[in-house]
Amino acid sequence: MKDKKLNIFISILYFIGVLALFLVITCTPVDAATLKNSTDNYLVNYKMSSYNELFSYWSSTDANGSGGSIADSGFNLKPNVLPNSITINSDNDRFHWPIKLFKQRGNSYFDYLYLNSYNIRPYISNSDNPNLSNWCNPSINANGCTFDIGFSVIWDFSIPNDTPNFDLSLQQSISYILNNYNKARFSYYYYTDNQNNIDSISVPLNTKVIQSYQVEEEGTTYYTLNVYYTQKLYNFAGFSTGKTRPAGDNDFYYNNGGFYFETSEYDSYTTYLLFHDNDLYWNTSLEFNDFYYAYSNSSNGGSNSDITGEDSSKDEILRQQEETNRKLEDIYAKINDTSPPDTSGLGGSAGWLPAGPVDSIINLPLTFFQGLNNAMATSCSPVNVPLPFVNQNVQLPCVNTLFNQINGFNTWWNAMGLIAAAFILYKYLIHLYQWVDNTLTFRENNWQDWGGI
Amino acid sequence: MFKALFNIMIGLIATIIQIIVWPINAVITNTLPDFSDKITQITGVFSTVFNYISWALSIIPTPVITALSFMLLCEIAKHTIFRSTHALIKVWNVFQKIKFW
Repeated sequence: MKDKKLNIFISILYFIGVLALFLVITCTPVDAATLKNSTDNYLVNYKMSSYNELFSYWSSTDANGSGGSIADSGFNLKPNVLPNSITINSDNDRFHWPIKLFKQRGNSYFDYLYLNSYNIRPYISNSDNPNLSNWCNPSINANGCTFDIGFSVIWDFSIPNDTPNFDLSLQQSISYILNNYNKARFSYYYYTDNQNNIDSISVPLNTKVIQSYQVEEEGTTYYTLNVYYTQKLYNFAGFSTGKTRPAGDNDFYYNNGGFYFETSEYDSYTTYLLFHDNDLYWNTSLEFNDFYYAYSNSSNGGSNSDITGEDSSKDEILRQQEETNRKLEDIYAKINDTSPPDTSGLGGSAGWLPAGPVDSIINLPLTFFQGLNNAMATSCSPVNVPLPFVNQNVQLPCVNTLFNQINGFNTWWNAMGLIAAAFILYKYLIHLYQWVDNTLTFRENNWQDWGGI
Repeated sequence: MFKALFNIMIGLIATIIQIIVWPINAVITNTLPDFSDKITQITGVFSTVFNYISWALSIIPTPVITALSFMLLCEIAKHTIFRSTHALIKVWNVFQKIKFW
């Protein structure tokens, strides 16, 4: 019997240990700050599907596709309900909001239009209170705004007074979406010219921006950005890249099914854009399977061939070391985490059972003890007892009121009670000590025990 | 993540309990309405009886009542902990037999 109890105890400990290990492994987030500050090789897997199409809008334009007419005609917004809570971060003066508009020009094709986020204000509302508007003001909510689950994020566009004829010339939108759960960050950069076309370097007319990625890294000299894609890309004629700063060549090439970009030392904070040059397949959906940032600390700043061979092996070792260091830092941070455990999940456990007969039967002992405890805690009240045959009630006063009428008796009575209580408590505590000792040493099956005095 | 996982597990257990209890509730309520009334009466009797007990307890000195309250509290807590542990072990044994992980 003792072995059986020991086995149960060990099983519980084993279960808790496995559960804790599982949680530690699965709860390690992808930290955007680590990504940003990393100067060595570092590989982060971005699930693009988590960030694409968070919200999309449909807007109508005039036949010329003029930006001014867009502002005048207003927007037919179709806000989507966010799938989960997100926090949109602000970064001092670079406070930008993700916005993507589909602009129709005639019936031929669509284009993407991206507006300056300084003119965009988001607010939240819900179905219970449609009039609720909680503006997320960039100047007030310096740390970003959090939108809760189920809330609709509606984007309002306010056109500055000094630009009544809204000019799309060189409008820029930089969007930082910081996911509240995994902290992964994805950034956009978009430019348009006064023809409502994407005005990036060396981009042909009618070229659509598929995605663009910004690499921010200080102190490093060489970056590689790999974009792996799915088979859905086959509809597109091709891709090219552009760099917003400095204006230069489109360093772009395929390798092993991915797109590669390179920057040099002075290319920090360079934005890389992906374009495709074919409008015939505008309605083809584009999906990136995975999106990888691969950083290299190689200082040669050379071409693609520089990341092969020996350097590649060394980089791989450095990357693994960096990853190991990062995991150790995570473990160290968890060990030194003194914050109390979150037990809010235990709330509401009293309502697990639906109200009904079963609920009443199961809770009957608790009802009994609750009544008994209340009776012992409350003061006495006189009792009315009906007398038979005379059909009248007689009131029995509380005994302690009678005691109070006898001079000194109440004090003496309480003193006697104090002595009796001391003996009772002494006996009970001795019993409790033996009970705890027997329980901890597995000498008794005490879960069936009740009282003992 | 941890909280979400925890809430999912609690939600699953609560859902299972509700699924199990719901037909029993329905049967008792619909086929045995008197039984439901009896339960309500018993609950009511508790409060009535304990009103008289409070009168009777006033005979006992206050220190003794305090000591008895303390013992009752300890026993309830002890029993609740052991009953809960016993139930958790049984649930754990059921989970072990399921082996869905």
